Amino acid sequence: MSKRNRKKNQNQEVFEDARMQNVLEPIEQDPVWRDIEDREARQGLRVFAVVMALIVTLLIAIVSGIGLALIDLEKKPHDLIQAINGKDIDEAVTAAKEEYEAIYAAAESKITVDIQYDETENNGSADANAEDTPDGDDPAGQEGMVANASEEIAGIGEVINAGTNDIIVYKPSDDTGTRPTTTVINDPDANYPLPFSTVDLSYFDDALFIGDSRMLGFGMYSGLTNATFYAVTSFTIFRYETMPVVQTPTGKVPIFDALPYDQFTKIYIKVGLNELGGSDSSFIKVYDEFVTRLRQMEPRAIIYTHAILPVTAAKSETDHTHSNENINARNEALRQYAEEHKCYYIDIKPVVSLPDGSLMPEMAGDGIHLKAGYMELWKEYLRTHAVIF
Amino acid sequence: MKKGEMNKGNGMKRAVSLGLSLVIAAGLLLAGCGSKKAMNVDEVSGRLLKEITYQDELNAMSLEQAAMFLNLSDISVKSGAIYETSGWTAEEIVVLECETAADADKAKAMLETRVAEQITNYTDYVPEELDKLHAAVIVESGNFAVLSVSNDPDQARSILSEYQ
Repeated sequence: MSKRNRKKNQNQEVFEDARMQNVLEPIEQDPVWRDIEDREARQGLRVFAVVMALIVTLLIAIVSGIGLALIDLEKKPHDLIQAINGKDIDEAVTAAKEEYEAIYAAAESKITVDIQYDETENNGSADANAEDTPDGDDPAGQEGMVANASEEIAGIGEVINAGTNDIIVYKPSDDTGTRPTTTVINDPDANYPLPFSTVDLSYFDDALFIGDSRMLGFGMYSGLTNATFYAVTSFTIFRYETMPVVQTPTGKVPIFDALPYDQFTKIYIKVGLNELGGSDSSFIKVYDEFVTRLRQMEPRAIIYTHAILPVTAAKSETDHTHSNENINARNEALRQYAEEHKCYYIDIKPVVSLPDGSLMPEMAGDGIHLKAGYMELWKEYLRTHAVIF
Repeated sequence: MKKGEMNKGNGMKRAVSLGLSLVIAAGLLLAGCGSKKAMNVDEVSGRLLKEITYQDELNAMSLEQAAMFLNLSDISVKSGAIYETSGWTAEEIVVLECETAADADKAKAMLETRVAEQITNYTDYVPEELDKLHAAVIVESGNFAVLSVSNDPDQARSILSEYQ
């Protein structure tokens, strides 16, 4: 840029500055302009003051509220800190939960039992309320206890040795001082094996039948409407924990999700046909697990190990898995199990089979499933082969 | 308007009136021919039982017994007819007359659940029954809900279509 042009630009800038000054200076000096500035400042101050006042008021209100709440609840600031940390709430929830669990357990455990006390010299007390602790070889603490009273026993918290020893011992979950710490009731398997007897159909009022499609058919057509059936087509004991079997208002659920505590005094289990194809030992292992769990839930129940019904000769010859040979082998395993574990083995073959052991052909359209009209035979056999204890 | 034209007009009106009357009469007649029967538990279940050929023997059972496998707990049922087999096949007939249409809705849903459960049960047990189950006929009509599982779903539908 030439010297002349540079000078020209500089003059231009000076001139512009002066011109702006001439414009701004008067404005700034103008009293009206100054008034406007003050007004805006004042308004800003007012707004700021109002906002601060609101915040302070809110804080005072919160603090007051907390203070009043603490006073009302008779708590201290220390408790508030604890609550904020969650400990107070956790403790309250835990305490409430324990309280409800105790109430629930006490309500659920109420049971009327027959306690038998032996009125012999050796018996120190015939008092049903005696506090005895099981020990040594005599888990009851008193040898040969026999009594004839019935009483309500509440607070049952634990079942020990159900079904395997002569005595079942109940241990209440809490000691109220007026109730016995242990209660002895008759083990249904104490005098195993009891002979079969003939009963009337009311025997099945508190009977539970568990099984597969054949057991379902028995439930549908036997007329035993007073009994309970947990049976479903294709039931297999290998899936007893998860298979939906029992119809409830919310849908079908697995057996142990529906089974109520101590409702049945006899349980008939008929499984094994759908499990043919696997080894007897693996079947018996799961069967034993199943029976053990049943006994824990139903300590007063006799367990009937129901034999697998035979199939017709025609079916046996064409179906190598569900043949009578395999059925007989499985039944033998079940019979041995029953003997070893104080279950009652029951087999209706005498009333449904031919001399060769196969199912009578007119009894099953497919060679396996008993027709409705023959359920009466099955029912009658059970009625005349019942165990009374 | 001339007299001739008036007469023509009147004639037209009469023709139109006659034509309309004939059409209405024909319509009423046709409506009478196509009228559906009122659904009835015994009649419908009886026809489903007799007019379809089943593989297995079907036996009647009570609603109480059926509670083992039908969830009737929250459905008000006025009357019902249920036929089941020995377990060999999945064939069955369920006809329910409910107290209200809302109950019939629930019953239909329950029957659909029943078929789904049976499909699960029979898949490994007797897979040959799956065709019948997949072709199961479930119908809801007014306060009625019906299930038919058989080898002849077309015949079941035909029977049920005669009822309103």
